[in-house]
Amino acid sequence: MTVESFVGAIEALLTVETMIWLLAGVIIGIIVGGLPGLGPPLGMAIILPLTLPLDAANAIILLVGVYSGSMYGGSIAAILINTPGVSSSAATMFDGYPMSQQGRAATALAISATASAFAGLFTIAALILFSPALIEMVLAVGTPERFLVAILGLAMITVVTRGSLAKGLLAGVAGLLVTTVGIAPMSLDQRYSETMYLYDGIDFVAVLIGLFAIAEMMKLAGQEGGIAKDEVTIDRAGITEGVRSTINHPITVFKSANIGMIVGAIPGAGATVSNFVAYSEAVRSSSDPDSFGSGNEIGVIASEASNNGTVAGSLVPAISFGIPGSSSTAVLIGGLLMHDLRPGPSMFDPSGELTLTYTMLLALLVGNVVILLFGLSMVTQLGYLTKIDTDYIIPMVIVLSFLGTYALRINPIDILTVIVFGIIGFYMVRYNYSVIAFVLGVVLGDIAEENLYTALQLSDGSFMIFVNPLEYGRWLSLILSVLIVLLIFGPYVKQWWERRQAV
Amino acid sequence: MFSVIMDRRTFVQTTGAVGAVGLTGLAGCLGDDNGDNGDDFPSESLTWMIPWGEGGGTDTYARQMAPLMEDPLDQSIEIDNREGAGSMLGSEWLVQQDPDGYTFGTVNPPGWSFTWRAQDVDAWEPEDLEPIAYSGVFGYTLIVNDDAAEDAGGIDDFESLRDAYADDEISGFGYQGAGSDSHLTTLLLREEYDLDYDSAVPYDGGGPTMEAVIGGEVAAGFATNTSAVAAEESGEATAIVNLMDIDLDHVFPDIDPITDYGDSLAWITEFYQVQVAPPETPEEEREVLMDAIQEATEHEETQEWEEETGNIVEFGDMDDAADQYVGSVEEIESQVDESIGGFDEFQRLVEEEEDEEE
Repeated sequence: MTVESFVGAIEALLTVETMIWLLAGVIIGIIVGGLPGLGPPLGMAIILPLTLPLDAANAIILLVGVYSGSMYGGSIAAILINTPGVSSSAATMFDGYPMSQQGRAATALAISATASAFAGLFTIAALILFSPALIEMVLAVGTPERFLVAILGLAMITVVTRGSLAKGLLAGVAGLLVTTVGIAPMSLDQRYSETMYLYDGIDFVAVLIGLFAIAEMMKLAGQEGGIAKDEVTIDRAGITEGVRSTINHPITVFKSANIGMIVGAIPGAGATVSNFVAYSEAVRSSSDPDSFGSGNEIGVIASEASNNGTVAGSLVPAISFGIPGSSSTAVLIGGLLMHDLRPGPSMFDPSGELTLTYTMLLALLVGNVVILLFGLSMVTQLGYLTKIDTDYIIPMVIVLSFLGTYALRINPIDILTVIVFGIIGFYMVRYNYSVIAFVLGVVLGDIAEENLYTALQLSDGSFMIFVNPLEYGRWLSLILSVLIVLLIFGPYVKQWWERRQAV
Repeated sequence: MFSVIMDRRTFVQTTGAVGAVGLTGLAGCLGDDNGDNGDDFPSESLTWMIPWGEGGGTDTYARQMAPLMEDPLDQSIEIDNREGAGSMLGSEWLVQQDPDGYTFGTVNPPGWSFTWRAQDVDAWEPEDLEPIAYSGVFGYTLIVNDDAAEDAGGIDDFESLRDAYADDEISGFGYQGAGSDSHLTTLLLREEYDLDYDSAVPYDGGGPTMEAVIGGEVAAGFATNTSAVAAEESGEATAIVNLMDIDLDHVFPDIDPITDYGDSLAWITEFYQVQVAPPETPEEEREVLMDAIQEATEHEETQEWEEETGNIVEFGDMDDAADQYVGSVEEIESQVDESIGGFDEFQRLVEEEEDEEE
């Protein structure tokens, strides 16, 4: 029966009309993702009413095409101009942009296209094969686990910080402080919200755009020539090198894609968290962690593989329970409902909508091939951007950054945020404070606070909910707690053990 | 899903700015010969402000209606999402727009009025906005986790839910945000309907609350009538209590109305999709918009959408729309006074719960 659904799905997919919608979706997604601030939810929401005349399958394919394409598109701005096109590409900047500065933009873009596509292919295939297990996992993840995932992310500060650990922790704590502005997520406390525009706090995407795009443009203003400081090589060799580099790191691709899929399946965490976790894991497991942040190809592979993996993961709670893990999947669920499809177990039932679910997943598989081909064919044209004189680049990026930021939620505070954090970012880099640690704090602060509060409400104030599965039945919490402890103290224990052995 | 309380100080500071902009708007109006657009309204595209983000319930309604209104208006409609501060930011923006009929928005009273009152907004008043029409209604139900219900020997109505909490057979009651309308309803269910839950747990909005019930983190909790459909489809939860006055039997044949156990809660659990225009928008323009909204609500596509999604589409004309929010703040105040001892007392109860946790 499942096989019948699968065959039916292939038949449905292999029509000219469906392929055109898929292609259109992916390309629109790449463009929307590439423009700072215009994330996938806005792109999908604009397209949603336009899908009304389409049949259900094509409508959903168009929407998921935009979603998937934008995950890749975000990396283009991240690599070329140090601006996160979408927040899920933030970690791509850490090594992607230095590669551009070194004249290796073509390689970085090729890596991004290849890693995105491979991770997308792998995770969608895994989703087709293992969806029942993933559905179980979604149900096992609750409030305490979400808090611990956020803490795991924060613990990564010890891994990704190069140089002074004290400075890294300080930057991380400063990032957490930024998230305390506005109404407390789970109580009535007002914090620093002097105007109603600060009521919902400081938008972290605006912070990212300021920290990276504006700070970098300030730096570039004092520099002659283009973004690339070194000789720019934009040729087929660079592309081949990028593709080969991705293929030569199958473990990074596999691991990051899995991290993306698992974190993506956790509602409320999503691609923004997963690309940092995957990046940090790549740094942690590397034999040369100091090379990250200055153009290590593995950093780009990890970030880009994880955010496309997230697409597959986030579909699990969306399709199986109608739980939107993010604004993008909320719009997608709206699309499903609009076309008379109810998220629920019937979407995975051969007598229900399984054929359509398979069609959608197979479309995503093909969509990833489109990303690969389209991405690689665009590399040479895009790479030239890094050769253009900064006198032209700077005003363009600044205008785009401000426009994109304002489009986020049409709140004038966001413009101020971009300016203030642009200046902060500029001086952080100058005085060697870890921008990555700061960003981890900004991204994870709200998630950690909100879920800590609710978890303690569930346990009547007892912290044992995180570590005692016998009383609370939450084994996943215990595993996550152990992982956090290992991550923080592991390196010290290892050092101590090695010293002891040496004596 | 709605708002949170905010202290008085915060909003006083915005008053000056709004006053200034308000005057500018008035000046523009005075400069116009007639103050209206004559018979050719609308002659350019319109803006429909939604004070919530993309993908939410109110946004979905607007995106369903807008294309169907374009035909009768013969103009395009652009949806403008201005989210923030529990819909207060978008509403404040709308108050400041030109009263030419080209800009209008949706608000969700009485939750909207509750938020306005709870936040002590004083830069503008709900009644400043001019009514156009309403296009739909939604509200709260209670959903219960199926496994928890089974373990407790079956929970299928409000009475058995109450018994299960009283006998400690189930644990946890989820609501949508501290200080929100669902928080107030949670307190009312305890005070007036004897729902003796062991712990009330706030989640960040409707999605996370539903997820917590589906995943069994809390035994029961709030869901809007549309998300309750999704919760049932998940196969993990069932909608058992209708907190609204509106009949939901066609969607949930066995749902138990709360009105069997006490007074109506509709004043805090039933919300309308009310379209409003900036202050001083002439009636003629609003009538044109009202007619277009009526046409969209009666359109075949909308009827299909209603059946498919469980959204309740209902048209109300200009007077009906005004009825939904004119005087609703006073109504809410008197209800809160009567049931809980006033807004200050509500705030005190909320803070007390917080302190217990700390």
